[in-house]
Amino acid sequence: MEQKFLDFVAEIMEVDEVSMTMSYNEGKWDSLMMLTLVMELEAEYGVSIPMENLGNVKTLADLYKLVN
Amino acid sequence: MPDSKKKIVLLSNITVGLLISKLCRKYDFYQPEGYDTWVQEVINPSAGLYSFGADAVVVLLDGTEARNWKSVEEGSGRLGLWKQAVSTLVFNITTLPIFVSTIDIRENRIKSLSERKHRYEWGNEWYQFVQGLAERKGNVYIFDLADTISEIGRKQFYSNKMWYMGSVPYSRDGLNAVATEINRVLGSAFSSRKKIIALDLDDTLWGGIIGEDGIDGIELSDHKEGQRYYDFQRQMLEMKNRGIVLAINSKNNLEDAEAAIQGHPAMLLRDEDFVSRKINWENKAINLKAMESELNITEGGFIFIDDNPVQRETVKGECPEMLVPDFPEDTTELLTFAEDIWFDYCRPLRVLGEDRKKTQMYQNEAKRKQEMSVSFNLDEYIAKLEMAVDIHRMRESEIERVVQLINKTNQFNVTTKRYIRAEVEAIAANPNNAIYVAYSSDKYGDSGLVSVVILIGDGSDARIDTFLMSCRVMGRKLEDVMINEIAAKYGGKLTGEFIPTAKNAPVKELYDRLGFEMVADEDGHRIYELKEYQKKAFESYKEIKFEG
Repeated sequence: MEQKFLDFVAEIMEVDEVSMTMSYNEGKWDSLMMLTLVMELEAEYGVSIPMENLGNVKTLADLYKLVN
Repeated sequence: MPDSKKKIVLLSNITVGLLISKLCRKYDFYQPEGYDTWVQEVINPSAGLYSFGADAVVVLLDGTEARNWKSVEEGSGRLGLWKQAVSTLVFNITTLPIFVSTIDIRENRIKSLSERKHRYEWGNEWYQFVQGLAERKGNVYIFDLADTISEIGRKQFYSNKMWYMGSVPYSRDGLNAVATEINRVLGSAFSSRKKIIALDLDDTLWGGIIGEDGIDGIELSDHKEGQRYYDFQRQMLEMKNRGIVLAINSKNNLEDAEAAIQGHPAMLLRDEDFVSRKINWENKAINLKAMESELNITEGGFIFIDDNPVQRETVKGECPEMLVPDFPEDTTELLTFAEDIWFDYCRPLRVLGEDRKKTQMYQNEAKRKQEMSVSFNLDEYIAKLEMAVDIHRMRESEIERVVQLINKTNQFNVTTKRYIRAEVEAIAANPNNAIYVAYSSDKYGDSGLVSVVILIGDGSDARIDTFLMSCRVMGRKLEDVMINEIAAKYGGKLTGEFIPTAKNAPVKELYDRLGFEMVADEDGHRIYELKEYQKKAFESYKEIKFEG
C-alpha cells in the first residue's frame, strides 16, 4: 500500500521512484506541487481531503495518513 | 519546422502554472510574472510578451472573480478594461494567431427568482466583442472556454478547494478539459489537418447490413433510435461544408448500396457528397491506396472510419500513417465521436471560399482524369480541358489564401519555406521582390488560386524563393506556363533552388525539366540557373493571362 502511494507520488512529481520516500522534501516540493498532489490523490483514492487537515501536512507520510 | 516546439504566450487573470505543466511537453510557454498582471503586460511595450518570440498568444479569462464584483458598474468596468487590453494586444500583434477565450461569468447566485442575472448580458457582450474581432482581424480566433465549461458542467469543472488554495478555479477534470481545448486550438494553427474521411457503410452510416436487411430494414431515421446514424451523417455533412471531403469504402454489392444512398428517405449524404466511392469486395486497404493516388491525397491526410475492428486493424497495418480511430462501442456516442474527430484533427482556424468548394473540385478532377484516359498525349488532354490561367501580382485580398498555401503545400513545393502573414506582407512590400499568384480554370470548373511564386531581387538577379502549386492541378504544364511568362518578364534570367524534403520528390527534377541548369548540389540542396530563356507559345492552353 505504502509503496503504491510512493510510486504514484513519484509519477506525479516526475521523480525517480527509487529516491521517493515518505520523508521526501526536495526539488519541486512547493505549494503548486502540494496542490497537484492533493488533486491527484483525491482522484486516485476517491477521497476528499478537507482543507483544515492540509495545514498540518509536513511530509508525504502526513499525506498518506490523510488519504487512508 | 512543423516539428519544432512552438512558443506560446499564455495571458490570464488566474494562476496557470498547473495548466502549463500539462502542456509543456508540446509547447514552450511564457506567462507574465505575478498574479493577474496580464493587462499591465499587454500595455507595456517592453514586456516579455512582445520579446519572447512567440508563435501564438492565448488569452484565458476566468469569470470566478465575478463573485466579488460589488455592483453592476464594477462588472462592466472590469469587462471594459479587458476589452481595452485585448484591443491593445490585437493592435500590437497583427501577425501571430491570437486566441481569445469566451468567459463563463460566475456571478453570485444568491438571487431571487425575479432578479436580473447580469452574467447572461456580460457573457454575451464579451462574446460579441471577441466574435467581432475574429471577423474583422485575420489573426484573431475564438477559444470557446465557456462552451467547454457548459459541456462538462460547472459542478464538475470548478473546484472551490483549488480556488482557495491555489487561485486555480478549475478541478482536476476542469484543468484537463482546458488543457485539451488549448491543445486543440493550437493544433488548428500548428498541426496539419486531415483532408478526407473515408467511411464504411453498414453499421457506420446506417445500422444493419443493407445486403441482408434491405432498404426498409436498415436503421436510419430522423427520430428515435435510427437518428443516431442520421445525426452522424449530419456531422459528416457539416464537415464536408467546411472543406473536408468524404469517400465511401465498403464491402457491398454496388446496387444494394446505391439503392440506399440514393433512395433511402433519411439519408443525408447522397452520391454527390462523396469524392470517391469504393463499394466492392476488395481489401479495404487496397481501396484506400487507390483513393490516395486517384485523389492525390497522401495517406497522412486520411481518416478511415469503420465499425469493424478487423477492417480497422488491416488498414492500420497496411496504411500506417492513416488515422483509424476506434469506433464507439455505444453507437449513441456517434455524434460526439464525430465532434472529437473534428476538434482533434480537422477543425481549421478559418474556412475560406476555396475550402467550401473542395468536394466539387475533386469531382471535377475525376472528370478530367476520365478525359485524360481517352486522350493520347498531354497537350491534347490540356487542349480538351480548355485550360485557362490568370497570373498576376498578389493582391491584398489574396494574402490569406497565399499564406494558407505556403504553410500547407508539401508536394509541389521546391523550397518548402513557411511564412506567416507578416513575412509575406514584408516580402510584398519590398519593391525589389514580386509575389505572383496563378488561378486556373477549365471547362469542368474553377480551381481558384492554385499557385504561388515568390521572387526575391529584381532585374538581373531574381531568385525564385518559393514556387508551389496545389497538387490538384499538377501535371497540366501550369508550371511551364508560369515560368515561361515570368522568365520573359525577367529578361530570360532566373535563379532557382530545390531543397529536398520527405514529401517534395515530385518536383525534384522540376527545374531540370523547365530548362534550368544545375550549378550547385550539396546533399540534394540544389541551385539552378536559367539563362537566355526564349519565350515559348503554349498553344494547348485556351487562355493565358499575365499581368507583370
